[in-house]
Amino acid sequence: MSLQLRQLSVRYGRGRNAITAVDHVDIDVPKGTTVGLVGESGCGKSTVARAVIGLVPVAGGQILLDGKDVTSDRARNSNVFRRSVQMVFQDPYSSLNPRMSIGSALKEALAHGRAAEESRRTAAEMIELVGLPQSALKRYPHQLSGGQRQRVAIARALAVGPDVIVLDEVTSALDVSVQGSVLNLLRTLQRDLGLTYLFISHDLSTVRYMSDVVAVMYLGRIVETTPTLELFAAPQHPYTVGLIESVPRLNHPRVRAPLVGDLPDPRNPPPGCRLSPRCPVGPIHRPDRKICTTEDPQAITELTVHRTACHFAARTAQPSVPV
Amino acid sequence: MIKSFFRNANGIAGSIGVLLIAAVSIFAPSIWGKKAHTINVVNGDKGPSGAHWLGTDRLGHDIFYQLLVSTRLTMEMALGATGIAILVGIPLGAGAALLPERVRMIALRALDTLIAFPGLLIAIVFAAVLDPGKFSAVLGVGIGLSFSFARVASSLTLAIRDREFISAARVVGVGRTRLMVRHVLPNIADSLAIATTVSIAAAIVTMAGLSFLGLGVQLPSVDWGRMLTTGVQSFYLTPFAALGPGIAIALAALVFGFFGEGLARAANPVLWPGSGGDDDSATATADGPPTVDDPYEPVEDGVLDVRDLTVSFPSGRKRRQQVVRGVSLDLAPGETLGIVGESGSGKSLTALAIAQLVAHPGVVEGRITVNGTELQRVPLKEVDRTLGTSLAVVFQDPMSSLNPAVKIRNQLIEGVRRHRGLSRAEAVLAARRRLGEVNLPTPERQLERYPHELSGGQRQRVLIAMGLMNEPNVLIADEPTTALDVTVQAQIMDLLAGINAEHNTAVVLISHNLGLISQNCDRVLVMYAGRVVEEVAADRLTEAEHPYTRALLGAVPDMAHSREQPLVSIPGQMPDARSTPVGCAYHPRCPLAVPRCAEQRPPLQLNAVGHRVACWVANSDEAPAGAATVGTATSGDGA
Repeated sequence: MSLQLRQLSVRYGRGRNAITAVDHVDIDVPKGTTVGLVGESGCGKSTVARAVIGLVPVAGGQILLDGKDVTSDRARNSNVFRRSVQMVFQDPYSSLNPRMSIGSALKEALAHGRAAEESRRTAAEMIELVGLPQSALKRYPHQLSGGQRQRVAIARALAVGPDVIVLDEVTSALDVSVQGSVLNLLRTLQRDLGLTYLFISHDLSTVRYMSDVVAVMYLGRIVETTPTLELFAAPQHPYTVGLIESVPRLNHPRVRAPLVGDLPDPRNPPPGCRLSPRCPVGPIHRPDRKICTTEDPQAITELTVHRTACHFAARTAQPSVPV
Repeated sequence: MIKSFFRNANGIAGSIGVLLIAAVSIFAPSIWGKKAHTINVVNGDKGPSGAHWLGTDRLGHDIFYQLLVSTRLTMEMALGATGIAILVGIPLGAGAALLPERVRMIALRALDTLIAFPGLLIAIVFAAVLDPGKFSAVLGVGIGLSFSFARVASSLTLAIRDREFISAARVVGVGRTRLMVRHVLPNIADSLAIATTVSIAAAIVTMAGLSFLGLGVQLPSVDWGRMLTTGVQSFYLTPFAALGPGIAIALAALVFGFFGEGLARAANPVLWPGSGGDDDSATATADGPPTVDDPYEPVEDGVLDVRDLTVSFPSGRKRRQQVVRGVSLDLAPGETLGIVGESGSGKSLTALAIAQLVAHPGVVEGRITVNGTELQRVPLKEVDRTLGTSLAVVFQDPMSSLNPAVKIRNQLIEGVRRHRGLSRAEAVLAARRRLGEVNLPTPERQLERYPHELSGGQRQRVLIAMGLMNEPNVLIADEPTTALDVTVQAQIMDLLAGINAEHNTAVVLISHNLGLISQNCDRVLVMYAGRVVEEVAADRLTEAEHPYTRALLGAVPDMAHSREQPLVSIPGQMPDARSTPVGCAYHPRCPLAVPRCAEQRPPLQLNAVGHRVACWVANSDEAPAGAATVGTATSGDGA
């Protein structure tokens, strides 16, 4: 199944404290592919995940599943939707009920009205699918390691039989040495089961490794969407360039921090381009570029393969990373 | 679960007590009923004697037997009231907490209002409206207690309603009722069990109060409360008439308390016996005294020199487990040393131990020399001064390292005033200068702010500025950017590099991020299970030879990793300190392990290429090619 977000917006709070956490976001995830959604904390990427899965209400725009509108809260909380779209959470320490055995957690996720014998068999299949021994079914979450727990969380999502899985920072709570095996597992499962992934992470290297297309998010908005190889070879948006350059790399001398300052207060985003107070090619370095503080470049984004929301995108392009 | 209940002391004591109370309640009236009800006015108000162990009351009833016989009624009423409280309170409270936000606020405020009425008052109202007696007392006390139950249930539910596993269950399609029964209730059950037993005790006492007012049990029925009330009236004559039922009430409350604790433990799988983590491959060891790895020459004029550092914590009776097991390191002025490892490798504890920040009951052994002062050999006051003026530590989480209630200014000047005796004005001036040095805009304004008014990156800058106040020559940064975003991380690394270059401050940078370490350090120590397993020049990190370091390099994608190749899967997990394998701690996970690895621990040896490796295979002559092939994928991360 394909997943499409059309001008999706999500708001938290009311009145003066209202935050538009997700602001007119467009993402296309074609069937059987992985689209990476990358951004820093507070950019709204996890809110996108929670909106897609029906945990937060949508303020505007559409969510389409295979072209069918599922935007309403009711549609996203229906059993049909649950069986199509699943999610794996960031922290397997908190996403599994500590008082429930792994076997019960898996059986619970299976469709209701199954015979006990059948659901036991399916739970056993799921646990095997994620590379854990059958003995894990009798265990409780605290008896498993972080990597094993995340495998259980993946098995639980798979037990429902979904086509689309939203993966929200699935490796960031894991120890370095087990991240590789979890990412390998996700890639194998995608290949074998034809799954469609929305892969959300703050880690650029992981997103690069996992995704076919990458969407870069900043302060509630998508600033650039590009096929992965192209994005890392020739990033267009100055934020993407800064993000890529900020990643510490082996066998690579350190570069000076490309972006100054912190993320602005999302309740009170800067006028014009939201990156303008931090941008290395914007008005803080080039006072003549007033347009950055007056006009929102989001408007100039076109629905093409390589989309960039920047007035001076072409001029910032520079090959950065060997791919 | 049941096994667990009977294996904890509370459960055993509680269940023996409860069985005893149950037996007395059931059998006492038929065995001693007659004795208890015998009236003998002549023999009234007597103290304890051989015939009457607790003496007699005014009508000459034997108090001891009366106590035993009235146990049944007392328990019936207490359990009845608690039962009502549970049946009404839990659904009320948990249900209210699961309501949508706006309705929830109203429901919870209503509960707060109800709880303000004392349970006794509600019971009195019930007794007044209905006829005074057993039934109205039970109902009244039950309703009275149910509000506090509801409050407990609602706050417990509120605490877990936003936990991720609740969201996760909703996402896989679990309905509301099942959510409450299978996900909410089991996770609050242990606290509710304790609340229940406390409530039984409270019910007994409240009943006593009602009886005192003449609204509870009516004569000729007698419960403990009634006996207490009667006893108190003749307290100076025969104190045991009141003490007897008083002690009975206290004992019963204690028994139910133990029982509840036992239930609470049984409800929590984490506390079940034999349910520790997976100890798959690990063989338990009692590690001998730390052996000195090839003793390397201390650097002349080093700013920091650490020899055979161990940190241990007590584990069980008279045993200690070492978490850091003989780490040696040195640091030259202006050098940047990286320490890499996963959680549990002992890297942060090493830093804490150097800064003398390991809290009791941890014990630090080994020699730590800072700026030529060996910390173990000088008086405590001088340790404090040496560390205060020459060493600073920056931690991972800047929010928890700053006092939220104290202005930045006062947090910054505290140290310099103490260690260098500056006046307040001088100290504030120095603080302003330091904030400028860490590139915080408008330092004057930042000084007047509180930690919560700053962003994460700004707080980390403040912490670094605080560390710099005494112009240390060693700065230990423990995961200083792990809580920060990468664009801010780059800014902080710029700052650390600047400090290092400008003041010649030596830096120990601790991180799990190999890229960060390789870009920002001169030399790298790789730690595994409390030991240094490899020491290598930072620019040659990719040529590391220890199989663990090599696996780490391949387990996390970096910007140059081929997207077609699978990542390295390291089977198993890092052993915990209780069960570190004999020999090389990494051998159960190592694809290159030979039999020797399971028997003898490899020393950290200077290797042909010029770095130190603790590995039998990498250090043997015949296997130089072996290291390069580590990193073939193995599936699974352990079972």
